[in-house]
Amino acid sequence: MTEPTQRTTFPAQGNRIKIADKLFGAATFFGAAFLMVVVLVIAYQLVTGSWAEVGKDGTAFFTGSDWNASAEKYGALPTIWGTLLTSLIAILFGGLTGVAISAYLVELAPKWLFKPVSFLVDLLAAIPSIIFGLWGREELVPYLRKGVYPELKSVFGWTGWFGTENSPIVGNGILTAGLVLGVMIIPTVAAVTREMLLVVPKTMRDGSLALGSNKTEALIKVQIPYAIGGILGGLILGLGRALGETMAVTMLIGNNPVLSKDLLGPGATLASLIATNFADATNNTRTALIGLGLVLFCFTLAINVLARYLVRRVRQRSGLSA
Amino acid sequence: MIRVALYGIPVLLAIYFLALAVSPWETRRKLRQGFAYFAGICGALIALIPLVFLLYHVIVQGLPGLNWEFLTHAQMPAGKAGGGYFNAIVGSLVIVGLAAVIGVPIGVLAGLYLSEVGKGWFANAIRFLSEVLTGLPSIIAGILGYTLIVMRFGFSALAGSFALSALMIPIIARVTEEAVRIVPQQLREASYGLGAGKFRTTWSVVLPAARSAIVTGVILAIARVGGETAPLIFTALGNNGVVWSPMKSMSALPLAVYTDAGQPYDVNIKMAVTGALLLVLWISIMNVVFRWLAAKFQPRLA
Repeated sequence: MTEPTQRTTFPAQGNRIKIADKLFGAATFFGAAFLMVVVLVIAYQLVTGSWAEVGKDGTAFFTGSDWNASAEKYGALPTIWGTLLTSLIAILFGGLTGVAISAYLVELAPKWLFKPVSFLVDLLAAIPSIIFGLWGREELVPYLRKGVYPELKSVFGWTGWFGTENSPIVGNGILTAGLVLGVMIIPTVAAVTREMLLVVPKTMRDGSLALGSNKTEALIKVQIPYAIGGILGGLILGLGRALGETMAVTMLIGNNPVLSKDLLGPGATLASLIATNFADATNNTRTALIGLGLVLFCFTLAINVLARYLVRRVRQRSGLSA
Repeated sequence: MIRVALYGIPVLLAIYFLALAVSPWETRRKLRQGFAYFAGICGALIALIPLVFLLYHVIVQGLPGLNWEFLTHAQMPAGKAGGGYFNAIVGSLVIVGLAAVIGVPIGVLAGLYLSEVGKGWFANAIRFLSEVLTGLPSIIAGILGYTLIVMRFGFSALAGSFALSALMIPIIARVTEEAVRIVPQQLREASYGLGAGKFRTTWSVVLPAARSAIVTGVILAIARVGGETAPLIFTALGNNGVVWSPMKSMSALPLAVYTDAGQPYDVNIKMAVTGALLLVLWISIMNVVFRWLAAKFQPRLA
């Protein structure tokens, strides 16, 4: 009597499994498609939202050196300049620091330092941007204004990059924003460098040490060259983070979109100008601000793709999956 | 002091390179070794000194204001003493909670698709777009929320949640993909061997094995978007009243900190620092929970 029941339930169960699997496949596909749609919608909205302005001005939008919302003159160049300059300062300051920390922790430092220092550096990544901005404005800016920038101006003022003849030193400015950004990207760079140095095969380091090199020489001549692609990727990833960082910069840069090489003076970045002006902008200005968003999106897109390609190449060479 | 450093650092570097140039080979190696240690320690100090000063500032300046009134009263108009951040706390809970409701299922499903279902060029395209979305500047997520929702329905918490979920989805998708991928293939094969289909296998075998890693990833993502301000400035906008409806403009902790920090009054700045302290506490508690979970539920499948 058992046979017929089996025959009747088996195909039915098989059908149920098939249906459940189909639904499961469809549901996960929906999740993946949603993710895709979000990216496409962002790109679409940025292009169509800014087209009225970008399409009208053409390349003049990107190369125009004058941003004056009340006169409806929209040139993106000052904010692009501010973005690149702050990010460059950040990468020089924070990027090198991040690489140095990780190289030191992985190879040179005593073992017991590795965990606590890594933990603290990672903690830096967990602190919201707005708190960096608040701290920067309340503590760092007054200190820099009184203690550091006057000295910097008197020593390096002749280069033209650090203060001009008759501009007062306010403390807010491109250099301040760049320095804080630098601190903010340290954890990103340090984490990638750490991982990249840890995947270098131990045999390579041991071989170098066996040939009589000391730890520093093994690090500089063997391990870092092996992982250099990934470390560069980490630096570029940090650069991408610096380009898009909004709140800390907004509170520290002074938000004055002018084209100037004075690092102690105010400037503006793409993100900071959008953050401060978007909510109560006129329709035309809002269109132009979305255009700035489009520029920012393209920058970060290109940079992230490049960085992840570099990191993935090192991982694959070391036999790890992407 | 600073002037000494400005002149001193180049001079010291010059002396170092000069010493490198004139000293014999063995001394030169030792000098380089010493310099590498010095640079590493300097790097660690550059990272940790701001961290210490920042935490010290936020705790010392913020702690006196952290009292019962701060937690249970709404914000006062700018310049007035008293009141608290109750409206912002409620706002953060509603906005981030809603973002999680949108972002977590989508992120987990997308991660499952990438590891269990999808193959070929389409899965690769999704993986690429997920990376693109990971690097998305948060301010652009704000523009997304604005153009999609605010332009049709006005400023609302929902627009902010939507913007935040765009930041959450790629993080959760990646964590899920990685967590599910390290589940051993034998477990799946055993499940298939017992006659289970793909859904039953994933639901009853793979997901439980990867659960702790996914949960910690979700908490990490929530902690991360909980501190985001930029996507909320022109979506949730801010509101001094206590609001529960997601269709209205609403404040959030980081947003209240930002607006208060921009006021010219001392009382507001003090509130902002206390708010910042609350934010740091919230995020570090989330992070501690995250680390504790990660340690407690180490995947037993190596």
